[in-house]
Amino acid sequence: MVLGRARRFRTKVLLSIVPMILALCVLFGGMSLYQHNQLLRREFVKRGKALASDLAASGELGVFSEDERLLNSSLRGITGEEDVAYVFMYTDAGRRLVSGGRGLTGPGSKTIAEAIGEEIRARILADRQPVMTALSSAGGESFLEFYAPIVSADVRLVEEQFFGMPTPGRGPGDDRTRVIGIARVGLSLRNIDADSSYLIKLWAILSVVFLAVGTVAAYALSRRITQPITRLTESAARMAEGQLDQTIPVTSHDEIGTLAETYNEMAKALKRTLNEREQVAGELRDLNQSLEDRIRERTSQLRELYRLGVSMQEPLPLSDRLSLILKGVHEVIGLDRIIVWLPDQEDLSFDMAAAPGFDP
Amino acid sequence: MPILTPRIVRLLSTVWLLGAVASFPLPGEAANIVALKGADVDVYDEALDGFKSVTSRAQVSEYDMEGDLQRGKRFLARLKSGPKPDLILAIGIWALQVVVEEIRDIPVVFAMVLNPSTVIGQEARNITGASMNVPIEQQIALLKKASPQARRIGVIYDPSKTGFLIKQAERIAPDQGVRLLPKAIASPKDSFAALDAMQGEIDALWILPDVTVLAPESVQYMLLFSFRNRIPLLGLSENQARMGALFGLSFGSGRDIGIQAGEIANEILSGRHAEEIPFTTARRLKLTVNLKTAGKLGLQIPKEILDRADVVIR
Repeated sequence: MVLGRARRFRTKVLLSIVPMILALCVLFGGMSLYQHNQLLRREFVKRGKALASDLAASGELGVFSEDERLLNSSLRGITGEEDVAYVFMYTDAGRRLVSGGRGLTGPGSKTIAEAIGEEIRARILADRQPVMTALSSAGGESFLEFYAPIVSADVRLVEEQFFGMPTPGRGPGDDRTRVIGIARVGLSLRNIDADSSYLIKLWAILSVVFLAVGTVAAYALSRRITQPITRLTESAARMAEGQLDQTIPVTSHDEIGTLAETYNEMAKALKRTLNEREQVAGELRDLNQSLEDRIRERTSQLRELYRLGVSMQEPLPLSDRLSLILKGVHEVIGLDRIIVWLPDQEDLSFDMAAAPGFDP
Repeated sequence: MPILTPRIVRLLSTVWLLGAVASFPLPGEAANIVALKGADVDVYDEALDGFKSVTSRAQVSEYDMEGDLQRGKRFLARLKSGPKPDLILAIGIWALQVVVEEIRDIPVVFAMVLNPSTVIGQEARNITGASMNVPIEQQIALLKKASPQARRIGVIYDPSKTGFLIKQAERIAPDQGVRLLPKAIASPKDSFAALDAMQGEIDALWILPDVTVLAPESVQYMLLFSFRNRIPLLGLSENQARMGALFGLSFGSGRDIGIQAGEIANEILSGRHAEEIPFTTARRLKLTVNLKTAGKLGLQIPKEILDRADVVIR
């Protein structure tokens, strides 16, 4: 039964279109989700780097003076930023100067290391480039950490206040800037994760809706195709039963419409042919009938003649015999009246011997 | 490829210079002056031009040590081994540093040097010159003129660098009717706390040409301090005035300092001893007034000052 159903055209259409829709949903949805996530992450990383660099710039005065007031004022802007979980500032030796942020007071705060990693510190002091690391705390919340060097320019000579002095590029000690501290910013990935899961949900719902709409559309389409065909089939079946006056309504101008039109033409032609044949058969039948009638007539005539012949042999007076013959002739030939006169041997007159058809 | 690359030109000029040095000047002949430039800086060239413009009778040969102290020392060693010039002109701090170390018996005139007394030891008797320092009395007078009610002038300094300036200023201040509130610091970091301690105690802030005080962060903080406490800030240069200091008072130009040095050289060449001639401060000054800052501080700058100003930032 299932196999029988699977052979139906509509089923075939559905079976081929639905997986296609599903594949499209999965492919495009997955691709756009992936791209969106990548983009979001890239922007997030950019933002984190920018925030860390901003903090490094605004914290320069504070780290330089190690003045708590200045340090705190440089934190003020950044800790209010969305996604910023925690902020630290260290001296170049790795000593913590100041810290802040929501993440340090929350439940997962114990997992955030307060000290700066020695490896990261060495790397920043050497490269003077922002560094990014990813870490996840025990609370299930993930963070992206950004480190930026806090750089200060050394003043070698007061003369530089008046005019540019050339830098004798000799030895590492001649570098005019030095790293006086490190800014560390931890961005919580909570929002990004929430955003991702929201998108996944949205994608799933949209996929289901799309799939449902697609299935219905595919069903309707296949129905539109199969319905005229079904009508044709039914009509043909009726015709097979002998109802030749069938016409299928032509509702469209497509291939199906053309088929219906052709079918109607065919039915008409068939009917015409059958009619002609009927007519010829009738004529033949008439001809047969007349032939049969003639044969029957001749046969009865012959039978009369025979009976006449037989009656001749009976000893009857001539006039009776003549009457019989004439009666037979009359019947066979179909004359209305026959009169026979016979000469009288005695008086040479003619006597009427017999007159069938005349009432005496 | 040009034949006269800078290197060859330098080599040729050195050879020529040594040749010039080798001919010992006889009385009545043109004096031989060797000009040692600390680095290839435009202002130093201007100073040399100014110097030459007043010592036209002397023959001046130049040498650029390109900011390299070893190079300067090598040059001076060669110079000492040959015939001695009548005078050495040291342009810039680096040139003065090597000359102080190497030269004892040739009169030296310096130009374009700040705080020369921190470079030149007490025992050096052959050295004098024209510094870039701005006369302290002029600085205090400017502050006084801008805000006559100013009584207390705060200043941060590193005793090892500008202690001598504070001593001079403390002598001069009472004459101008002001009191100096100096805060000594030992490292750039201390300037923040020193400034905080001055809050409410001073009517004006004065920046000294002191490298310990001039860390960019300290200057920033001084500018902030000036804005927050609405007190005028006297800066060192046009640069600082542009950054937000009310005034920037600096030497007029390299040429002026060069001329001053040339005048001292002339005195020495005419027989005066270097020891007898004190270091000079800048004679002509360049004043920058930042009227934007004046507006923010709520100060009305007297017309007298504006007329005198070389640069007015509006």
